[in-house]
Amino acid sequence: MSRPFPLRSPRRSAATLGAALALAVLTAACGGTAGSTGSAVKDDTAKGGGEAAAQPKAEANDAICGQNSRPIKHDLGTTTITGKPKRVVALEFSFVDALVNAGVKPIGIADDGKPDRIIKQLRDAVGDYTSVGLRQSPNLQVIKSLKPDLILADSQRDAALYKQLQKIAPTVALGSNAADYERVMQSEVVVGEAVGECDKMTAALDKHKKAMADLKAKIPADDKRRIVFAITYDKGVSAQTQRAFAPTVLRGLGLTTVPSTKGQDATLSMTLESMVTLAPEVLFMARNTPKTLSDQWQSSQLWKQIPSVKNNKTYVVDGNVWSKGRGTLAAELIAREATEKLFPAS
Amino acid sequence: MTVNVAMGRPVRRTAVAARRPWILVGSLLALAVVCTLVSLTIGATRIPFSDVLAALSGQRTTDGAEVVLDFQLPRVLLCWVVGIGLAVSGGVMQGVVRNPLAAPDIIGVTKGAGFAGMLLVLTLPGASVALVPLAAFAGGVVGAGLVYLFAYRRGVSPVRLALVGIAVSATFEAGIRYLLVKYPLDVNASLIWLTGSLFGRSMDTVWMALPWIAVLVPAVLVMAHRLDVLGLGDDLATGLGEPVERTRRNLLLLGVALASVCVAVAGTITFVGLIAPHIARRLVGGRHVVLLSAAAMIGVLLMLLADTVGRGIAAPLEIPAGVVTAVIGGPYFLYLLVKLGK
Repeated sequence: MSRPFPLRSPRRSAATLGAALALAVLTAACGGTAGSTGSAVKDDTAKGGGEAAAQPKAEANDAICGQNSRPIKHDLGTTTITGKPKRVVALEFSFVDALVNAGVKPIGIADDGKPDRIIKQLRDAVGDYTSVGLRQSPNLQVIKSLKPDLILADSQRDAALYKQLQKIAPTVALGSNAADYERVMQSEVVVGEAVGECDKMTAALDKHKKAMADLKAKIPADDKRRIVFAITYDKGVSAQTQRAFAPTVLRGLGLTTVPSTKGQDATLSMTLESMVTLAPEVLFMARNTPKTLSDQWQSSQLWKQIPSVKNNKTYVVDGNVWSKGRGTLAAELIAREATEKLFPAS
Repeated sequence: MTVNVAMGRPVRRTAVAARRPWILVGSLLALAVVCTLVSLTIGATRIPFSDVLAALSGQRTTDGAEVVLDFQLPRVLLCWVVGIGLAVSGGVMQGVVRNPLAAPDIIGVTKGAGFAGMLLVLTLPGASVALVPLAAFAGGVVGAGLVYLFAYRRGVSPVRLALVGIAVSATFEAGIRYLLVKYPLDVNASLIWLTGSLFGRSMDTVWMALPWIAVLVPAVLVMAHRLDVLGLGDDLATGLGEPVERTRRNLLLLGVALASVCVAVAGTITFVGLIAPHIARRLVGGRHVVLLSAAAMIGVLLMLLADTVGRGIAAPLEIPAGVVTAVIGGPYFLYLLVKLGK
């Protein structure tokens, strides 16, 4: 305090600053490259966010099924699994479906802290499990404490966590979030291989395909009604495109869904006007929050111009089945509900 | 020197702080170390203190020690890095802008960095996760650059800088909103980064940020006396031979770099950069070398508190640290506004 301001020449301060910045850039660059090469060696495919869905690398390979040590090719690399994993952690609901199909009860599930989000039949089949937190931020410490021998992760949502998960237990990353029906079916097959229960999985999938075929048989081929599945929440309404799960299930039945999409997007944000333009003849809506934006729309005259509203073909459906489930059971429930609503007589 | 021009009124200080401010800084440091050790034991499950000590001595013998080394330690170290970075950045900005409400949020850094990081995640899905911090850094520099550019009129007046900063931040905020609407399905992942969270961070992230902080913070401390000079007002500072404009620009650049690094590794954690310097000013007064050191320690304490509460209170659910700092920081911000209004 007693010291007067030690004023220095401006040139010297600029030099100090320049040197400091240069040093910082240099050291950070070194740290950065060291870090990235380190990760490149271990897994060259861990990618963040976006549309990892566009390049699924998971491969179904029945040949490896009987082997004790099986290299499982998945979206973020290849993981070798030995024996039949019994302590499995599922970081998405569709993996719970796949595990139940394979006759394995997951010991940990990322259930967002809400067990109700797991479709009831699956929840009953699983019995007791430990919640590992939110799907977007599963609690690594809890996962570790469960001492799993296999972790099933979403190849998109959990990409940034992949390295850390791999440290805890062998991790297989597959399409679930933002995956369509076909890709989810493929994920099921790979889960069957990962847990070494290919026969059970094949049997379950055959049964599922038959159930879907039976439903499809009930549907007249000439039905061309424009079906929209939308999720409505407090701040918006998103219509699922033909790349998303529920619409691809419906299309698999020979039904027509809109909107189609130019890009890779699995959802399309809607306004009341764009919904009117889309003109759905049947509208299925899942409500994610108690109050939704679509509630406000319903008082509008525009809303009443939507064909599905005029014809009383607007239905509220369970988002846990239609949007979050994304498994064989979810597909069957969606197909059944849609068939009942579209063809009430049959 | 006891008169803090930025606050426009003398700052009350305790007797110890007036005579021996470094004792107070040292106490804060000790407190931060203790809190760090406590924080290491708190998680989804309690970890015995013996395991923490084992882990710190490099043994991976027990599960608890493994948890500490793999999950807890990177987060706690990031609390230090980000807490120091944000607090020093905020302290520098408050000194330079001579506005007690200045913070990285005000001059466009936080939103700029947040927008750029999100843009990369959502539009270039093929890009490596490691690139996100670099994009955020670029965004922070662009944000601050824009603010400085628009605010520059033969020098930058504090009020003008703050106003332009709010406008530029709002523009980036609009960009973030647009991305949220455009990519609703992918938002989950980016949103948790955006709210500011230390979830899922590993030592890689620590190594990414540490060199910047280790170099930039000492650089700021070396220049701290210039903040004291600037605090006397432009006329007096010029009279004392300080090249006001250049000094201000250099210091701002350092502050921006610090805040950008923090946003890059921890997302938009708000209020730490604003509050820490204020608390420090009340404790140790306005001399910047001491003020910034104390603020850094308070920043660490705030981050540790936010992250520990976030992961401990509703386990296994994770509450982002940014949400906790906002809950603590919001009321304090209001208190500041009320006090300033009097």
